[in-house]
Amino acid sequence: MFLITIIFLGFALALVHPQVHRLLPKWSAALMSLYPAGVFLVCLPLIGATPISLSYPWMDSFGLRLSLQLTPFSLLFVLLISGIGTLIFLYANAYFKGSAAGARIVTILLVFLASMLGIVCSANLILLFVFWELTSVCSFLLVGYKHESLKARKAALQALLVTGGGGLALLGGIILLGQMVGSYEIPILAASHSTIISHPHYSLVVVLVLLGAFTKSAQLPFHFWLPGAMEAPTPVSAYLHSATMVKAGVFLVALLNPVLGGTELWTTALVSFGALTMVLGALLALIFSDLKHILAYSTVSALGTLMLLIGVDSSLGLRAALAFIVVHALYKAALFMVAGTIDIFTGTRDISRLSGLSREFPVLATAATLAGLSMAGVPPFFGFVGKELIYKTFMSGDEHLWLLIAAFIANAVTIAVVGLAVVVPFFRGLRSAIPLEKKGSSLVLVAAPLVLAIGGLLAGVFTSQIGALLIEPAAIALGSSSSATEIKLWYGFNFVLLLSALTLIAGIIVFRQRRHAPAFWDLLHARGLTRYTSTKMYETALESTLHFAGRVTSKLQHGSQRRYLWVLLLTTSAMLVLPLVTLPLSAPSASPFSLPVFSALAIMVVGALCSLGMRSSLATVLALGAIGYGIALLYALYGAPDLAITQLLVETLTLILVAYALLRLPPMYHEQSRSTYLWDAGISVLFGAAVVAGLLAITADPAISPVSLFHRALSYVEGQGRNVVNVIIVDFRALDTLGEITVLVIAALGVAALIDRRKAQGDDSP
Amino acid sequence: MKSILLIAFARIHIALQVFFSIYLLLRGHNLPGGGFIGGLLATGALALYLIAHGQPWKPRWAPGGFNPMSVAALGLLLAIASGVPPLLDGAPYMTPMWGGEIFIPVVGMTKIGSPLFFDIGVYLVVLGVCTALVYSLHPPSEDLSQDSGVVPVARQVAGREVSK
Repeated sequence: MFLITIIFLGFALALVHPQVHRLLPKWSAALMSLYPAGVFLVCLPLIGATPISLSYPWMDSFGLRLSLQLTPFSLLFVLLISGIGTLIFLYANAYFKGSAAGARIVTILLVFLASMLGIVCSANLILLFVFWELTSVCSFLLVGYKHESLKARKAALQALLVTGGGGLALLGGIILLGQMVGSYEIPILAASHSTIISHPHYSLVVVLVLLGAFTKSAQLPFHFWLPGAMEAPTPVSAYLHSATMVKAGVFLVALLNPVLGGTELWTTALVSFGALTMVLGALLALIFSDLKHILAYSTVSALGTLMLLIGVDSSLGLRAALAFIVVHALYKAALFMVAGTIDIFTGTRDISRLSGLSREFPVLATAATLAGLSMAGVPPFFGFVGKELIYKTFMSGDEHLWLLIAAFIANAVTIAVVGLAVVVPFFRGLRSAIPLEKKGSSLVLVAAPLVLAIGGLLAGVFTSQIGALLIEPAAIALGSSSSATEIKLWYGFNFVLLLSALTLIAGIIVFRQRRHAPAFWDLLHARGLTRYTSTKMYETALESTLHFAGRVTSKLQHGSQRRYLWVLLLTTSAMLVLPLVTLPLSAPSASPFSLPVFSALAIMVVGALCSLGMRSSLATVLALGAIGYGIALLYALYGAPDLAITQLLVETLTLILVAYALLRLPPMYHEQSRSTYLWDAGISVLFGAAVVAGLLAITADPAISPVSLFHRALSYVEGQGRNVVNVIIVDFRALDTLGEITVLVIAALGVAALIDRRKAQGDDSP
Repeated sequence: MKSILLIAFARIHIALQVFFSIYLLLRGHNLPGGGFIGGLLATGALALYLIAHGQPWKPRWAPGGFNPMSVAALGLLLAIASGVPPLLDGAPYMTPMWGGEIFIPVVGMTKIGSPLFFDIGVYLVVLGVCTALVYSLHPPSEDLSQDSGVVPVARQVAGREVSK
């Protein structure tokens, strides 16, 4: 029960936050940080407790149940989300300084926090998907928060289209999975593993689900939205795009590993995309000079590493991934916050302009250095544990050799990236630096990253405890058998340690040679090869889709009344005729000749024919009215007086209204070409024939429904009336009638409003 | 262009038509008639007034003209309200409740009940809605004076000559 509370409390707080902000503008965000703090503190004692799960029916016909679970795996994420969330809210409080735009951001962040908790606690795939899409929407709103800037809008749209498109694929995969097994509950899916992997649709499901996970977690080639999302303010980037939302794809892959994993398709896909992303992401980070872009690309690389580790399908790999999730969240969020703080304090994030900041901001420099050391994998930081575990995973087996090499390259480059992000702005040119103008100062903006960075250090010191309490249970909850290897800080002097040392040296070398990276990129750009990047592909795809849509619209929405009618009549004819291919048509029975009926029919036919030849539009309408009057006569002749009267009256009223409308039309018709008239004639005849066919099919089975017998029998007894029609309208089906007259009033409101507006503008042309 | 003939005729005919519409309304439960038909007839009467006089009917008790949408709203309210009394008795909404019979001249003995009020509500709605439509389409009175009403049209139909 309390699981439901901690998730939906977030939504409730988001509703309330705007009012809170109005009352206490400078402190509302800090107040809201009590929510994630509360969640963190409540869940901390749950480490090592038995998993909680609950399940309530919600929309059982769709398989959607409110099923939540708190396994050790979910608990790991909940602690990360809430712990970092607390610091982010405090950071946001100082970053936005109580502005109204900041308040909007905090409100959406609350929704996001709740949705993220929803994702990690869901035990029903459809419920998970709902929260998944919620986070995409929140990301869209947050990235586009500076909505006056075209760049921000484009970036937000890009993020939404990529993650949303992936989300659609994910939904398809989830539904297929549910059809295979008959349920969307995760424990049931995990138990049906062998059924799933031998099912013919298995490959399709894997492709769809991985599409969803890869777009969310920015794997190549879907990575490009993440650097674009850096348009968002830094608290958002630090939270969503480094520590939580982008990890959702990794979370999903890990969660579904017992359901979909173990096959070659799964493993190959994860390993190849993950490895590629890991290496390329790190390399791309060297090219840029905006601090946030550098960090964004290195996040891409880290996410690739995570996918790779899960895909390798070894028990050590899983544990390495879990450890690395914690490692990465701690140092990356800290570094992003440092970047934001630098932006506030100096007004720029460009590392070519930043230097020697440690003189002005020593505490900030400490925070950055601590986080950077964790990122570089230096002992005793937790980052070191993460790196060691990664290397250890690839040590087993020959087929992992190339993965080992890839990891080595990526890690070395990442160390160089640390240099870019930390050494350059803070320590470069210490002796000769010209101090930049100090634009602001705040304790919280420095304290928050410092807390996270120290967390990275402490986690490293207490590795064994974290390993035993958090990581091991989480891995077992994911279906892994318990591992022989214990997670600890120091394994002794072995090959892996040597590898780490070599990586450090390689990283420093790359750092010294860093200027070649932007130069190489410029060379590619000059040769026009940057046309093939994912970003450009996305832009081309978007442009051509819009272009195509424009052309289709201009063909279909041409504004010609005549052509709309053609399409309408043709479609209706087809819909009438096509089903009849299987139904019997009755031959019309010859009824005895009756003069009144024949006269009515004659009036209708003569009226129709006359309307073709009339020269005055009003006369045409009158001639068509004859058809209506003929029908009224037929009704009367066949014993339906109410219908006849109504038909008569409606026809008269229609004539009056049409006459009014005709007064406003120009007196001359445009001449039409002969072919247009032929089309008109052909389609009209076709439509008429279709209606005849439809009627013949209907009358082939003249069953009298029991409802009409019921009405007839009870009309006087219960309805107190002899006029069955009226009794039905006013008594038996009064609610229907109530609905109809409500619609009438609404329609009249609309029509009167439209026409009155034209009158008010002094324009009485149609 | 005001037609004296039409005005004179309308004076008698409109009153007849309105009374006839009420007659049809009240007798609808046992004989052809009812709320929809009555409402349409009454609209016809008001439309006739509009065509004859060039402006909507402005009774002495509503010198600025009455708003047809108000009538429609009143009718809707009446229709909804007619289903409420059964709720007070514990029965579902819109259960018909019948009282005694009263004598209405010309119509005869009519049973009073909630369906009757519902029907009156329907009558008012149809009257209001259709009158609103007719009024909104009616051009401002200045335009009518220049027009004879029949719009000449030139058309070429598949080879026939253009004729004015």
